[in-house]
Amino acid sequence: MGWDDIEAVEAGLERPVHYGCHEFRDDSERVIAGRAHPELERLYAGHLAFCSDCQGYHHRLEAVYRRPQRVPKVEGFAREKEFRGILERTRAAKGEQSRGVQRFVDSASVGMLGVAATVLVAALAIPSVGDHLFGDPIAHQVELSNELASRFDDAVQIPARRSGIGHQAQSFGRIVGGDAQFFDDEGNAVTGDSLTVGTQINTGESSLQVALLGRLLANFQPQTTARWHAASPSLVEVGLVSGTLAIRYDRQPDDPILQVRTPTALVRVVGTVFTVHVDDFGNTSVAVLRGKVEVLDPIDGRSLGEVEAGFDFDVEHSTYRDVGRREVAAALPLSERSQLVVAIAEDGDLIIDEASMDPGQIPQSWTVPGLSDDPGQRTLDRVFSDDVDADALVVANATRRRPDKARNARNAEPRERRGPDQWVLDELAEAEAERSLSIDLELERCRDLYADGETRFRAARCLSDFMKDYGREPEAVEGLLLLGTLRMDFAHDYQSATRNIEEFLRRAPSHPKAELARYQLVLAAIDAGYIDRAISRSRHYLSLYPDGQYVGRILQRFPELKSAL
Amino acid sequence: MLDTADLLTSDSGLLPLELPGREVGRARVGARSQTHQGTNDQAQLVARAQAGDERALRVIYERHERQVRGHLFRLLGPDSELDDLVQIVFSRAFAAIDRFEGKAAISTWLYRITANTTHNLLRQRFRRERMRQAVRAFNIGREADRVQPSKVEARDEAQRLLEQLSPDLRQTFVLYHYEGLTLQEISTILGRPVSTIGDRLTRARKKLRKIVCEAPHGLG
Repeated sequence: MGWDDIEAVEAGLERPVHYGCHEFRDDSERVIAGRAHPELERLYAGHLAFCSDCQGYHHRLEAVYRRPQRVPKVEGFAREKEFRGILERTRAAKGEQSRGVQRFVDSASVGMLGVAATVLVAALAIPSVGDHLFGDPIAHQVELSNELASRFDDAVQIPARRSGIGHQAQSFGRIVGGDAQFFDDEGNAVTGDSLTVGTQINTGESSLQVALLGRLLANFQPQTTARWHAASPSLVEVGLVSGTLAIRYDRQPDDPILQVRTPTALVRVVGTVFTVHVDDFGNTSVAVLRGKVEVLDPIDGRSLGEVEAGFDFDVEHSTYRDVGRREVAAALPLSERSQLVVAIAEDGDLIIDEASMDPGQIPQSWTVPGLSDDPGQRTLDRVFSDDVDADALVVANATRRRPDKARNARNAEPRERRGPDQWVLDELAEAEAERSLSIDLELERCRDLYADGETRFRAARCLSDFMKDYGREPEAVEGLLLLGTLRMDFAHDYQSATRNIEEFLRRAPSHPKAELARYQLVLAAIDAGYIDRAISRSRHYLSLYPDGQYVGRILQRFPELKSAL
Repeated sequence: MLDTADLLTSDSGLLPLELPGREVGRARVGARSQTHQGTNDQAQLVARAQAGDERALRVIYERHERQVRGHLFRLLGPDSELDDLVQIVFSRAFAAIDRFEGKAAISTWLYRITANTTHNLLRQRFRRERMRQAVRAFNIGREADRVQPSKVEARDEAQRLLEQLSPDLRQTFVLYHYEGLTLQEISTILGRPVSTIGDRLTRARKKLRKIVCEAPHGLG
């Protein structure tokens, strides 16, 4: 804009403003970046409308200033692979650095040995120095913090689960339900409810549910042979020799990768629900119900295929088909029960929210082709089956047997034949007996469901109904322990589990199963990743039950506590 | 035309960045306590990473992978070496994590490593591009009647224009206009005075105007 133009504008004259290509190009960057005055924008737009040369210039410059939006994304396995690649490169780079340092270290090592020998002599000669050096390891060295714990009541601290494996005590498996034979590395039979790496599992006629590392639930179907190969902060590996294995893995970012190794495939998992089947000829098939898994060649790690939710991948023929009833039936005992909420109100009342999922209902998060989204229709008998044997796995919905008051109707004697006081007392006694019988019957029904590996996952609903009806009765307190155990085993919800078990102990501190409850609290803390809490609970257990039946299992996880005995 | 002072105060809707002590003016108001908490969180994270905790390294990777990949993409455009460069940047960062003092944010530190990693690559490519330009001059006439390109082609064309900037100017332009950093932040990342960065940005804009004017075929 020249001086003549400005003077004309100031004088209020209608003289047109000169705005040519030169001015346009000077102002382009300012207009594109949105920093131009509205009047300037108007002039700019006016010029842009009729000058074809400047249109091309404007579009080119605008394209340069426009921030690229579509950045390529890396997700899932590719992301995991990339991180692994970064770690390998980092190690290689550090290796080069350390070679330079090595020469210095070699020369210094001789001096260090001399110092170490002096300290050892001092430790042997002076007891206080020896205790300081060789005493129990300090628990907080392996503990991070308690920030994630939520408080309940005045005394109970409830931990939320921590991701990752940070202590060797977490590298154990627990038998959640079912029955099987176990063998160690050397082929010797082992017993107990704790599994260690190297254990071989042979199921017979019944299935077996195992919780590994507190975040992974495995269901070994009947006639299955498998071995637990490895457990480290980065990898958990299970070998499947024959049979069917269903796994639910609620993985958090820092948790280890899971691999299932079969004779012909390596199934690599980031977080999902899936089954692996090895037939009599050693052929492997992998079915996925939620998430995605990658199938690798067990020898060279080459990718054989990726299996999306809803598909069953036959490794030998590299073919896909829809998941069927056999796979869903194998995984159904692993179905999430996260909808069940059990809480204690401030006044001490037990609050149990209705579970939104019926027993036997297939979770909405699972992809099963041909199955309706209607919750009422998502049952196993509606899943397509091409295998008649799978029908045998369908467990009939457990019908809840309410106490039949008519059945318990008394053959009451006529009131006239008893005295009025005696009649009242008899009535009270009979009512008490009836109530007690009802509680026993109900609890027994839940116990039956709980005891059977095939139906154990249904016990949560049964128990929630039971606690809703009888939660305040003294006889019903055991239901809290069972409920807590289920929350721990099947939902990996250690907060609710701890809450239920603590409530059980508060209400029945001298219950015959109090020792089991205290052991369960130790396990809940370990599985949730709160090692210092687990150690303090272990110490408490050992002080209460120095000859208890779980002492060995606790010391297996925390050998440093031997001195506490 | 903008001078350095104009650049220092201008705001073009840029992205927030975690840099302790950065100037106000980019959606950071009212987040002081969060920043303090974030600094503590970062210090703990770095301490764990320096102690060899693989989980801490994973957290750093997962928090900043998109930043590094996005920056590389905006700097280099679609590139077959992009994934490899992401790995190189992070592996260099992890290998040098012991020397990270925590004075700057991790994101700033990663930007610096990315800039150092790509510097030589950009120089090589810049020289190659100048050779290509000489060859391309022969083909100007043939492409004069080119049809209206799509948005994707416009983006590619923009990337080609950007490649004609020298590495220093290009790095500064991308950090300012695409990454949304302030001159002060870019100065910290590249280790140059703010005045130098302002000068580079001004030169980058001038050069781009010239390149766009001289571009042999139009987009419009």
